[in-house]
Amino acid sequence: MLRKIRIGLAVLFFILLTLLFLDFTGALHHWFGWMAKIQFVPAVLAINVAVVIGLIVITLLFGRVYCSVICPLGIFQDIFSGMASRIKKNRFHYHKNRPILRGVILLIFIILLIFLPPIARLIEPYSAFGRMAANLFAPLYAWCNNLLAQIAERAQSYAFYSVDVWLKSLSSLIIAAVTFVVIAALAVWKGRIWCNTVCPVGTIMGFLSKYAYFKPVINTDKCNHCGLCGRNCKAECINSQEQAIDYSRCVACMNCLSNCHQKAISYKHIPKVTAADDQPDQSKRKFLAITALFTAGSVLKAQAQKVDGGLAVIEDKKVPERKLSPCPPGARSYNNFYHRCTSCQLCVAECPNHVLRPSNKLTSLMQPEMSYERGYCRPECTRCSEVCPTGAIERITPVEKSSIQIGHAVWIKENCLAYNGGNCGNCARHCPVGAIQILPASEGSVQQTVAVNTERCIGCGACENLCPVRPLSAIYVEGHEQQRIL
Amino acid sequence: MSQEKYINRRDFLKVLGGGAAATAAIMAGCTPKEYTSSGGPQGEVPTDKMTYHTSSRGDKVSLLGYGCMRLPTVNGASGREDKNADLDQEAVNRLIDYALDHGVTLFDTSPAYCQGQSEKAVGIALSRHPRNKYLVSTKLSNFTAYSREESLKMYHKSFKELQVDVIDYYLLHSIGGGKDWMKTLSDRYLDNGILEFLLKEREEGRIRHLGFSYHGDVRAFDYLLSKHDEYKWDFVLIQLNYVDWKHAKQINPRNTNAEYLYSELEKRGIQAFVMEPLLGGALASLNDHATQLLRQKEPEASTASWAFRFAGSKPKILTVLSGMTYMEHLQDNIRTYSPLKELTDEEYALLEEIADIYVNFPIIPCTSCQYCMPCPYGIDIPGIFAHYNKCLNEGYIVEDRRSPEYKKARRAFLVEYDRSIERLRQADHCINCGRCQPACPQQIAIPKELHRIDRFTEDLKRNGAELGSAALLTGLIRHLDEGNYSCVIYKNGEMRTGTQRGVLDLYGMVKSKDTFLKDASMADKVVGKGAAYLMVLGGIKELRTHVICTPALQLLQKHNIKVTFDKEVDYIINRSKTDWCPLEKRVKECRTPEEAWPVIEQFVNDLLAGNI
Repeated sequence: MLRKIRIGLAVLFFILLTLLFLDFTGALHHWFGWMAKIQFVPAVLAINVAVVIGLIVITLLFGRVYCSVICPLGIFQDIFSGMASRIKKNRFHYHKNRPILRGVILLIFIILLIFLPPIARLIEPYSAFGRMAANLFAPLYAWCNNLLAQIAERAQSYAFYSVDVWLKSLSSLIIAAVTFVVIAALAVWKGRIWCNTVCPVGTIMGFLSKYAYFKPVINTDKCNHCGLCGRNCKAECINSQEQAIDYSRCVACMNCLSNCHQKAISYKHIPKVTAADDQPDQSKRKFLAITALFTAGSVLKAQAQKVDGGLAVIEDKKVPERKLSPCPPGARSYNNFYHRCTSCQLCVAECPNHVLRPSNKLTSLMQPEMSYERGYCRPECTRCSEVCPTGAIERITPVEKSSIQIGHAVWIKENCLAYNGGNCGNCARHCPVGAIQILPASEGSVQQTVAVNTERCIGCGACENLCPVRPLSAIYVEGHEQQRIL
Repeated sequence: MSQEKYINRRDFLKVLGGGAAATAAIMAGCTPKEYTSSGGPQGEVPTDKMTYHTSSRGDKVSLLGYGCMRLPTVNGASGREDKNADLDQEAVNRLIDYALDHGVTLFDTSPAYCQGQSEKAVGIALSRHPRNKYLVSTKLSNFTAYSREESLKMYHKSFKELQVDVIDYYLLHSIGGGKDWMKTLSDRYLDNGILEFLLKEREEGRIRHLGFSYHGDVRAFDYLLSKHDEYKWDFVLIQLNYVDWKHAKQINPRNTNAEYLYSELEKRGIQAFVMEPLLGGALASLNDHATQLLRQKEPEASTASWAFRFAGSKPKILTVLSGMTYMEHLQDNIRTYSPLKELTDEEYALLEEIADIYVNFPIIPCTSCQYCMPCPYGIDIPGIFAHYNKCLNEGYIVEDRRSPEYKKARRAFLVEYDRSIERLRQADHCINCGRCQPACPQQIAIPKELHRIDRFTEDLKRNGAELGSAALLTGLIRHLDEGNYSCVIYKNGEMRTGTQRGVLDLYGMVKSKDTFLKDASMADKVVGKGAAYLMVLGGIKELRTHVICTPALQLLQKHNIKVTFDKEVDYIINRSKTDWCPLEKRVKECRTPEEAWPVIEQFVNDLLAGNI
């Protein structure tokens, strides 16, 4: 019974959390956005005391249910481990805890988190999962949606609409793919070995769960030393010979309770216990995701060729060389953003204007970065600030958003149509705060001037995005380290 | 008499070939009554039921006047658009004979119409009828050569071309044009003594009614009316239709509401000729939504007939000129006025609703001919227009967020937009280079329409989100510029727009102690000290304007009103740019809002009384 409840909750959490990364409409966040916000590391970074205390209390009461039910990476491993167990039964063997190794990794993680966040982020469980969802699953989901949208279009329905699928960052895609392969392989090999060796959250939770009030306990009177519990414990923490359970590694999955033929294990208050695993399919996904992404480029090219005829070819925009990419509005400052963002990429998956994408730079690897080739940061949109679980992007209203200066526009007159005698002014026409004016040419000259009021400019990138000059716009946005409310 | 009969026979035969509707109409006389009445919704064209009004000198003028600006050419097109072709004299004869037979008595032309061919063609057609059967109206169209000699030449030529000794209605053609209306008016009619000459001609009976036609700067209209005691205008030709009645500025910022023009004439007891009853043909075919509303009310009436009924329903209107090229139009219009069925209050309200739809959502007459393509910036112009028109016809163009249709319409518009047009080819990428403009055979103002659609899309995307001050004010001033409003005021999600001249709207709100101004955000074009005092009195929170004068800026800042502007000037100038703005002059010495209020009140009273 307890196992079934655990599985039910885990499936629910896993599906909804994954959907948060897939749902481009933003509708799900309204209801389930909290699921990202109760993740441990994001809550710590957001200094969300209530959540952190809540998670600690839950762990002190029930053990590491967090790792079994709330953590998406944990459930992800259970899926692979469960599949492997169907093929090879009784495949686990108890081994000793490695507290020193775990402690050292945790320490390194904390040091890295402070001094070199990009590396720390690689092993932070929620973000690692987020990257897989955003980079591997989201494109698949979007393609399915686009298929439905095409069907809907034929049926004259507006229920589905197409979305762009594009390669946002190659480095992130590679990292996500590697994470996927490594974690899945570890789970197939030795169940929860990642959680019980590398994962810093697992180590913290493990420390707490030793003192949990309720635990799986082996009734030594009923136990016949068959060892079934130990061989089916994905955490490899049940020493059936000694009828002992290592609670620092037990993730309270309750598998051992139902595996024991003697009904010798129960979940209750008092020491001594065990664990194992379960769940449905996912194996083709990896293959599909990767092949699909490799074909993405060619599909987009084919589409571009379809729209010829009477239409002029439009060259793609290139990313300008910015000294600093602006941080999303609400990030407050580059420092705050840099240190609190775990690069889970929820905001990247969420951004409806295709502004955010994972960074390829070493210092901010995989953290979201803004650029305006495909769209601009629309004044009424606050989606990234709504979804961010870590407080790297703080919650803002559209009123605040349209007043926050995240950067300012820089005019490159050599490229500008208006400066070179053309009739343009598209930047001025679309600046949402009226910070751009086209000054008429002085007598005897054709050179109009694009005057940017940098005091009023909020750095939204409307000018850069809608500038007709390609591949490099004649006006682009430089980011600010410190965001200001104007 | 025998000749007339002969013509009628020819007429009969040609019309028979021309179209079924015409045939039915002509044959009505020799066909059993019950047969024609069941012959379709159009019914017969009456010959003796035309509504007539009486001119100041006792003429019996048909409410339908034949405008001879669009007479048919040999190519079967209108002589206005088909610029290189000769007029089809036989077709002209046929139309004019038909009109006379069905009670039309007034024919209006000009030496300028149809590349100068109109007067002659009309003269030929009319001279085949007794002179007492028709009234002619023509104009002094001295647009290029202003001299007395050239003007007189044109005047005398009209008599010859029209083959008459007396011109029944003579007009100074198109008052209010030119860069400087007063100078143009003086050059054309005053300084060369032509107006004096024409007044004398009227006295001597060669001109029976003297008037002028007005387009453009309203001060020319006001000026000539102010001289009514001296000139004794018999009539004035104005542009009037149910859209121009209240929304003229939204169609063309240079135009003036017909309601104002008509009421000025009515006040002085001057009769009006009406032109553009269909707004250049636009009111003959509306979008599906508007058409449905009209058909629901009157299933068998044509869309154009509504516009004609509106134009004819005012008592001081002597005649409504319609430039008719085709027999079908002539027949439909005769039907509408034989006799005129005056509009009820309910029908007036319906037409006001249609005018609203027309002004806010005019269909774009794009035929997807692709002449404008390829746009050098890759924009899919015909695709965007097709999308917009489709949404318009399906009722998916809804601006009002409170409308129950809004949510569905918004989604349909945006989803369909992305579906039918790639993002990079949408209207927001139009840079206004103007390359497409001359290529359009429909003369659509392509960049302007694209920007309008872009604006609409932008508003849908913003979906009424409350934005920060700078973004809000920028949105307001763009609304002001595009809608040609005199001011735009916003508070708590509600936006109000002003359309009256100068400070009148603002004055009205302060005068009526309207609390809407309190803490409101506002956009304006030009703010002088007078307007600034009104803003202080109304208690607005912030202002965005194009131009502001230094004293106004200082005043607003002193009262903690946040101001952003494009240009600061020492003082505001008047409309003809010759002197200070009159209000600016009057409030110059005022020190407090309380001190300024009575001065502004006096100014507005003077303005309304026509003393400024």
